[in-house]
Amino acid sequence: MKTFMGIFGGFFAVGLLCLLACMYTVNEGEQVILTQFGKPIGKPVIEPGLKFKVPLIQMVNRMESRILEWDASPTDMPTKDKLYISVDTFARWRIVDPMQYFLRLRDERSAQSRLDDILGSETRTAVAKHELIEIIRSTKDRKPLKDESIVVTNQVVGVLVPIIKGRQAVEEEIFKAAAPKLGVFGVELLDVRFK
Amino acid sequence: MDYAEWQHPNHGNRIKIPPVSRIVSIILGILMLWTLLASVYTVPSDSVGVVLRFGRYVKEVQPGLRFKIPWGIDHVTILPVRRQLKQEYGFGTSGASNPSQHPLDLSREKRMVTGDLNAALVEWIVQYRIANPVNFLFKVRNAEITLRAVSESIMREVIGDRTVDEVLTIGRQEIESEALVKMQKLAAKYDVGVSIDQVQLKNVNPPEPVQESFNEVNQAQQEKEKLINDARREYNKSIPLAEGTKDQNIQEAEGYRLKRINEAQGDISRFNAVLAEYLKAPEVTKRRIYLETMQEVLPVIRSKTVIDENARSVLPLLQLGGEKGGKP
Repeated sequence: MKTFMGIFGGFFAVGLLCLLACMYTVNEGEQVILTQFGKPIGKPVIEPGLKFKVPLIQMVNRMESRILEWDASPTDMPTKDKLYISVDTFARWRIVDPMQYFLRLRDERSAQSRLDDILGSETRTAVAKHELIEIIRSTKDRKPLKDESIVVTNQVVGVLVPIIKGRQAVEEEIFKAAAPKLGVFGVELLDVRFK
Repeated sequence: MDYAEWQHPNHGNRIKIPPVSRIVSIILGILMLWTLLASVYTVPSDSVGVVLRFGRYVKEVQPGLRFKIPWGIDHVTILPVRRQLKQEYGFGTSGASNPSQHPLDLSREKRMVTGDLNAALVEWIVQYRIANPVNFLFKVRNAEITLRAVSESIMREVIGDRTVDEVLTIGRQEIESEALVKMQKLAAKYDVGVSIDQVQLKNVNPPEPVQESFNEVNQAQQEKEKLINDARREYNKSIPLAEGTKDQNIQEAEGYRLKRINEAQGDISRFNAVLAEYLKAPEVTKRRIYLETMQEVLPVIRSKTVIDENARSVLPLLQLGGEKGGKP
């Protein structure tokens, strides 16, 4: 009886361990690619919940399915009128093709560094193509409010410098240039903005 | 080994260990206690709990005492959805419980360029609530950092479209309302799951080197006002006085004129009267005038000696009147 209990207990414990090793959870906001000896197996798991796999030989590779942030550190760059400005950009992106992303980038750290490279250089290109005021202003024909009690003595203060394109258009240019380059990584760029 | 054997230590050379059943029951007891403790949790009144079962979103639970399945099956994240949260930009009050309230780099954050290429230091706050816990947690990673980026970007955009006068003085309310609308729009686009309730500008200042000049301008304006008032007071004091003096002088002159005219006319009429009398008897008058004139003239002159042309000796005559002579 005792030996039977012992054996049963042992089997039970091993069975439980096996079961635990077979199961994994996919959290909300996550997606998973299973790899077998490093080779991706099956379709990416997008639905959250309790999932099963072959223990030991299959590995779980988790990645985000949420919208992720990319926040560049502020960088000084020249504009078309050769003024140096400190530009701080941020972008939203997400992984739309997990398999591609997994094969090309593997993890988020390398994804962030690709974003740094691509968005950083596109930002420089766009900023260098425009004059400073195009990056600062956004609405073309806005009439500023004026305080009537103040007599305007110099014409520099209180007058908006005219623009041709504006901030949104420059942001849009960066976005259009960078989005296809990121598409090959399985990454979808949602938005680029100046801070 | 059973309980009876364990009770009698001198029953053979057995090692004294507690029976399996006892160990098992103790372990089970601890396990049950732990399970019980791990399956109970409370949700505070300003929050909701978001329950994940095997990583999958199941439900939201309202405040109170709640139960869940332990052993890592149910996960509960508690979010303060009813609390009014805020984020500060360009400044930070210490002691906030919300980690995203305080800016990372406040001096960089508040420096902005206005639409007429002037600099301004802008501080503002954003008040928000977590409106959709599921989006907040699972749609966007780091929703609050995203919100910070959104807010900063929008504020720069709005400030960049305005003149420095508007930013510093007259356009504050407009900036707040426009920024609020734009932030709400962008937050909705990103699905961050927060509702932005208010955007409020705090201190908006010109940059430090300029601030001094600003104060000086204000001071100069006050000085100007003061000088104008002083001058006005001086004017009020002296001008009426001068007017009075002028009037008085004119009056005096007028009086003097009248007096002179009247006097002259009086003289004329008296003279005419005298003349009329003269004309009646010119001889008498002539004689009288001669006598009167002589009366006036003679006492004044010295003694005169009239000498006949035949007279020889003048000397004695001169000596006679010597003592009296020379004096009138």
